[in-house]
Amino acid sequence: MKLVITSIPWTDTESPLLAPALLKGQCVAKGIDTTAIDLNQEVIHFVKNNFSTRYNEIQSAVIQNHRDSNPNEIRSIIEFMAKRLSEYNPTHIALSLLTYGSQYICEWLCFYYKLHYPNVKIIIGGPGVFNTFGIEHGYADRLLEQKQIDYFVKGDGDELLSQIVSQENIDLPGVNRIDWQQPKTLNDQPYPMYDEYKWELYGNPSLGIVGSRGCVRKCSFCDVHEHWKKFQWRTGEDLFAELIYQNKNTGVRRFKFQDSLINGNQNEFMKLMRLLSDHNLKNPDNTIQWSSFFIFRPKKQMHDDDWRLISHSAVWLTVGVESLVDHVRMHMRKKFTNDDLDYCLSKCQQYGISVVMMLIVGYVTDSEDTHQETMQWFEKNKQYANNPIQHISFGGGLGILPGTELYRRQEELGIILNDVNFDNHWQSKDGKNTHKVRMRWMKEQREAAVKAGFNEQSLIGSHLLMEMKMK
Amino acid sequence: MTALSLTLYSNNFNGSMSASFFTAQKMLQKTTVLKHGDHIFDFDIDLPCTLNVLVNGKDNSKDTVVDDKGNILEDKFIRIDKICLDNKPLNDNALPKFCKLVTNDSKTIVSNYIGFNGMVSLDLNYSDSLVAHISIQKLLG
Repeated sequence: MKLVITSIPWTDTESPLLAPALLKGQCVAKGIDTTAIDLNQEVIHFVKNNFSTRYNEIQSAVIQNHRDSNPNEIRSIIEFMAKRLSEYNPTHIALSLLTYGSQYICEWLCFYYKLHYPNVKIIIGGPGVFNTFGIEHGYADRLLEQKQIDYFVKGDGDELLSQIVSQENIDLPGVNRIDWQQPKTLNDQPYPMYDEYKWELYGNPSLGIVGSRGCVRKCSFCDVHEHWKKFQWRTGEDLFAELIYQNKNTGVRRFKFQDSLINGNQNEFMKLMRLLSDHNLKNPDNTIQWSSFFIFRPKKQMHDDDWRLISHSAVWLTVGVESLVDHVRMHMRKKFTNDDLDYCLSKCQQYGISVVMMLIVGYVTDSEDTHQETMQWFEKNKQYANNPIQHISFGGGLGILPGTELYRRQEELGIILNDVNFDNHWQSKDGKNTHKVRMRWMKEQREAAVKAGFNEQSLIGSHLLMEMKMK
Repeated sequence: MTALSLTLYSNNFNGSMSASFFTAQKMLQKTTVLKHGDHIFDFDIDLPCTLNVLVNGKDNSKDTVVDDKGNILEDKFIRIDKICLDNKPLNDNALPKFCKLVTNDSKTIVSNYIGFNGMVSLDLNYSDSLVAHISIQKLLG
């Protein structure tokens, strides 16, 4: 048996993608001969080298069916990917789709591979398989029905992948079905193995790391807790050991936590911060730094000394503030006030910790009054522009997802939905909160933020800027 | 060689239509009357090519019944339900845009619903099945 695991393009990053390395660690520990490569980055370079002047055009053609795309160019990319995979003579290939943007090229890679290597088993997994919002599984079912793949994996493939490869005809939760089980623990797991990645390709060799699954909050608009029923975390010691291991083995000093939030378990988080602070003070030439999604907490839960410790290793915090109006944020169940927000921002400013602030425009309890209050916040708090708030990300206005509290309480909250999958065009029954109104609020809030000196950026744009800062 | 599979549905009304299948290089299936129901035809073809389906056996003066509003009540027809190239179906939504019928009186109809005698052509002038799939899906782009 020989398993080859790869990422599937397109994720616009200069960093190694975590999933293949993570899965390799798990499979090697189970005795499976495994190779992990990052075809995402290899394809990005293939396109740069072969279609340099049309990079954006080719990227777009790889991501989706495009009337103006050249099928022979797509074919050349698929051939390149298939050739790389076949170099290892695999019996199984596992394709990791990080986003929806990987589906198109993955479908044709599977087709090509099944045609030329019909005996090789193909396994697909990752959040990109299950549409943008993780609910529907039509893509995977279709490929399975067409016999273009042999298995799809829902949820954490960490344990399942090795079982698929070593057993035939398995019937497990999460394999070719949508129901799945969380692993019992995240601690004491094998570390990701990046040894076969092409390190010379990465402009930004910062590594991903998983510190937790799920979330400690149950925000009304979010469906994370539907997928990860339990919040699971790794201990500070376990995380620190992995950071040191990867630092020694790869020389990497910058890490990106892939969690919904790094500080879900405040005790373990602060343990990690103390360990990193000690390490960084003792190793000024080899400091370890990180970026992550982060939650602001009530100020009584985060003392001045905590912020000081965080600043010894944190580069960039992405914080879902979501609303700048207290009662709106409380309805969301974010559980911190504007006083807490002010405290956290002032501490980040004091200790030089950069923040990306995410906001949701047009929440179900928003109104013209809260819209005005939001715009006033920017003016009243312009001292935080650029330090610590590097960017504000407004998203695309509130969308309502299945599996969320808002979806379940739509009748009670007076929401009219138009789409059962992801509704960006919902409206309030009184007609005062509609897509059109939300777009106006967003435009005016953006203008108010920029006028007050804040930078406005999409979340993807913020991510790319964070990558630059992580270099 | 490319494996081509066609799934057709034939609707019987005053009998059925017939079809024959061929490319410029070879006859794939001689004229056969398609009895009521589903029919699957499997062929090995060489790309690039155009697959031609000659359909016959319909008298439009009596084999189609419509009501006052023009709704079809009864009809003799063939419908192309599925086309697989190398075991992968063409995109369902692309299928109607991919089937071109030139009727015996030289009208061109782009649809997978074949309700007239004439020649259906499926343009497979692509270097291989991968390029064919991607190109045909572009019809939706």
